[in-house]
Amino acid sequence: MTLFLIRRLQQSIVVLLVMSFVVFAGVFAIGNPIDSLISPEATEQEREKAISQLGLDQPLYAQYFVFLKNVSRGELGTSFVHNRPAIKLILERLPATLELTVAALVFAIIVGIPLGLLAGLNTESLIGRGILSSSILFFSLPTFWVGLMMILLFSINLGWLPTTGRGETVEIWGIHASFLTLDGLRHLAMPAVNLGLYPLALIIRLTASGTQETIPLEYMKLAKAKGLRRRRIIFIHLLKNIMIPIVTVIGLQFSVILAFAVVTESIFAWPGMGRLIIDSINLLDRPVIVAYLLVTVVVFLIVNILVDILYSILDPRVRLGGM
Amino acid sequence: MSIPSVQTPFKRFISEYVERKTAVFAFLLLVFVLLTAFLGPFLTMQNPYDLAQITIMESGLAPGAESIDGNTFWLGTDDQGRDLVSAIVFGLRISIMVGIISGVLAVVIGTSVGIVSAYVGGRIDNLIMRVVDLFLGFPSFLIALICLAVLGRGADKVVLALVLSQWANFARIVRGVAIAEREKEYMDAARGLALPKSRIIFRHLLPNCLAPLIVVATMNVAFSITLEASLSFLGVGLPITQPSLGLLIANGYEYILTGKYWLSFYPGLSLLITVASINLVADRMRDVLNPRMKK
Amino acid sequence: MTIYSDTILEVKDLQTHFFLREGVVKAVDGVSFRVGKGEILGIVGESGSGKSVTGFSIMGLVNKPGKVVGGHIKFRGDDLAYMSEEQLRMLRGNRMSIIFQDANVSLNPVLRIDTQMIETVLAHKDVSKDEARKISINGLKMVGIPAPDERINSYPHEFSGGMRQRLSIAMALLNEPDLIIADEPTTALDVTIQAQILYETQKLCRDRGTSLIWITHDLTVIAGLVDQVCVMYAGQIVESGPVDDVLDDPQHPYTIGLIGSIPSANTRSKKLYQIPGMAPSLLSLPEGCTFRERCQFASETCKSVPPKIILSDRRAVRCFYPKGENAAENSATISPHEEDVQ
Repeated sequence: MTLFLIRRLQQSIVVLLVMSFVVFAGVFAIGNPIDSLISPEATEQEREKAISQLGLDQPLYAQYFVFLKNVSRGELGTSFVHNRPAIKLILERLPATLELTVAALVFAIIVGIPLGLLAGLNTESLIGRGILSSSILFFSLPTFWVGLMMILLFSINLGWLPTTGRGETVEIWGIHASFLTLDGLRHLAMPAVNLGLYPLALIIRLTASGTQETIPLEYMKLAKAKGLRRRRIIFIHLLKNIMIPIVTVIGLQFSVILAFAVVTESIFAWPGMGRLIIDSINLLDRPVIVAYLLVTVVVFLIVNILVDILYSILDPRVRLGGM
Repeated sequence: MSIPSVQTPFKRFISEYVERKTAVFAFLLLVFVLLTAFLGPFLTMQNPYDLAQITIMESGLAPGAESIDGNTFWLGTDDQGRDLVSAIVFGLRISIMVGIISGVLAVVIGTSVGIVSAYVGGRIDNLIMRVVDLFLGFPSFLIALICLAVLGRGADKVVLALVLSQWANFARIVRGVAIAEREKEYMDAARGLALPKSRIIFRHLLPNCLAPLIVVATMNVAFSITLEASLSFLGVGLPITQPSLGLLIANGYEYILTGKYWLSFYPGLSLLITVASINLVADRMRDVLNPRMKK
Repeated sequence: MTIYSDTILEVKDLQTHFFLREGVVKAVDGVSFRVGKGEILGIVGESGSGKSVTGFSIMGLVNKPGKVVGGHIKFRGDDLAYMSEEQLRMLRGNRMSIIFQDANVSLNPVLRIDTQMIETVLAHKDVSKDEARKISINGLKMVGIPAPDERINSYPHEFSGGMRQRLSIAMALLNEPDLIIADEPTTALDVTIQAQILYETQKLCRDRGTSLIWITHDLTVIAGLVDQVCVMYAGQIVESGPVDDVLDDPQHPYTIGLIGSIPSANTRSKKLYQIPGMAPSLLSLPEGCTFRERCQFASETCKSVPPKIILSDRRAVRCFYPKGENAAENSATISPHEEDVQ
């Protein structure tokens, strides 16, 4: 286990280094941010001064080494726009984004697994077929449009839920969280459901197909032959087996959902990293984009390691040391 | 099985496809959507982007309202007096064009890279797969977002971003299929005849990977349309001069609080119908073409 | 031979059909037999003869598209058809249990052995978890698993093939059932281990007076093990009787062929007998006697359904020409080990 973790950390650092260069080089190509920072009336001299102050006159590799050196000290540069450390800007907003992402996944799992089971156990019935075809529909729904329609229905027409912000938050371990207050939950509900629709469809289909494939297997027959109650057969024997592919896919989906949170955050004015990154792209705020990408990569890597560990817990045939 | 053996594969495909009624409905819907997108712009009551044809006098009308010259705005008008039906038809064409071009291009590029990689093997294969892994490490939405940040707005740039964000998927899938195919007997036979590599790849390997590829390509068009709409909605996709459905929805977003729901509802509905019909058709094609792929 | 007076299981005219797209498959078509207390019954047949489906039907394990459509299964005097699902559940794994062919796939790969054993005890007995664990460890000891109190915490894949099959035998015995159905439990194993397991299972059942139905395609397995034997062909029992009688004096041409195809000391360097043709598809069975197309004694008569000839109290055969005698076209009887019949 320890060996596995060490090896994975080494791999992660390599990936991070490669990514940092790709990201840096990519963002370098974005164009000169100076035009959007300096007023058009500035003199040539002021312009030069600003450029050298920001280090923009150095060649690419020099800028990258400066960048690497700063990264190792935990500095990712200062936002051109906000004039604050970029990493701080991102980290301030990371918890809100993570909360939204995790809430969306939890929603998808809590709703998706029972529905998938229902569909998988009753493939012939109307319910089962209905669940499966509506999951195709969920795949096709444009997330952002559904978000708008939810606002239209639940906020404007029914007046049940607020449209913007996180609502009241509670501080735990120095991080603000919405899900612990009623007001926060009311704010969280719509964005989380909106963001969770796609993984919901995925989990329903995975669970349903997993169920269909597992039911005719011999060990399910033995479970019945042993006189176990149906509840135990389904929730222990069946579910523990189909959880293995589901966990894998959820792990892969985490990064997809984290990325798509950008859209949901824009619609519901959720104060996460999403809105910030869109603004930064439009204003070419290079350090913030880089910080966002690197933080995201770190989150991906952590999630991947967690998934591997969870996988080995769920499937005893997998041994982490051998990987 | 009662299926007569004289049927051609294509006829057999059709006869199995039509067994599912929803799939037939989806196919007819898709034909309708495509006809609307490509012929519609010649039939609408106005060109919504010709300023001479619209008037501010007719702005913000509700669905069903009558225009000054006696026509009906079936889905209402926007704040500049544009007929929403016309705007949707024009937007649909842009969305579908971008979707088809980038969706198909990504599959073609990915497929070529995957097949070549599998067939050449060795160090080049290794290198290509490293690059593929790098791309796959990120969600396609994020890659597209970053590409557009680098490239700026524009239809061509959106297509490029969509292709860059998705090609790696297909390279990986196709390489897997191709490696499996490479081991099969007919490939040995082709090699035994000392056919040139390119001929082996394009005349022998590719046709055998074709059926699953058509399905993924179809699904990818749907995915590309959604992706483009999301990016345009965020304001990083197409420019305002080329308003796709995503931009129409974004414009309508501002009016949702003032009760003009139709401005974002109907463009979104059109988007949903388009994407859902493509997905349903692809889903059925997959079931018919390859029962083993049924997940 | 012991006389088994108390009947544990009585199967009467059992019909289990599979409703497929291509048609109805009569996997079990009118099977009847009786198992006494402590008796061991062998069911022999090729794959597809319906022998496993018979076992599954008794256990209530036939899944869609299959269905028990007719007949009676009386267990300890009660007709299973009139029991509620809950009553059946309380029988399964408790009063009757099953050992599957391949423990590699019949044990749940992601659950530890203790979980899979303890749940079996707890499903039927009102005991504490600790008590259930003790019972389980005892069960493992009985089937010869070394260091059972440690090994019980392992996963199935951590055992060898033979050990895994012992695990499933231990599981079947856990609640001391009245009847065990063993569905070819040794075919997936090495020959040496086969013999061990065969012997031990028989001993465990004899010691406890547990009735056993041993399903197999291998006549040699049956010989030393069972009291009664039923030979199945295409969903029907074609011959039944005490094992020695059936082996020494087979009546049905199919049984004769089966016995003739067993290699033995007498058949060395001789060509073994082979039943001509292949097992017919259950979708398109010949009318009348289902074996007639492979039978050398078959005549026009065989196109009608053959009678069940009762030879003695527990001995019966379903054939127009038992032992090939009185066959119109072919009067020559064939002995099991005759050289190259073809």
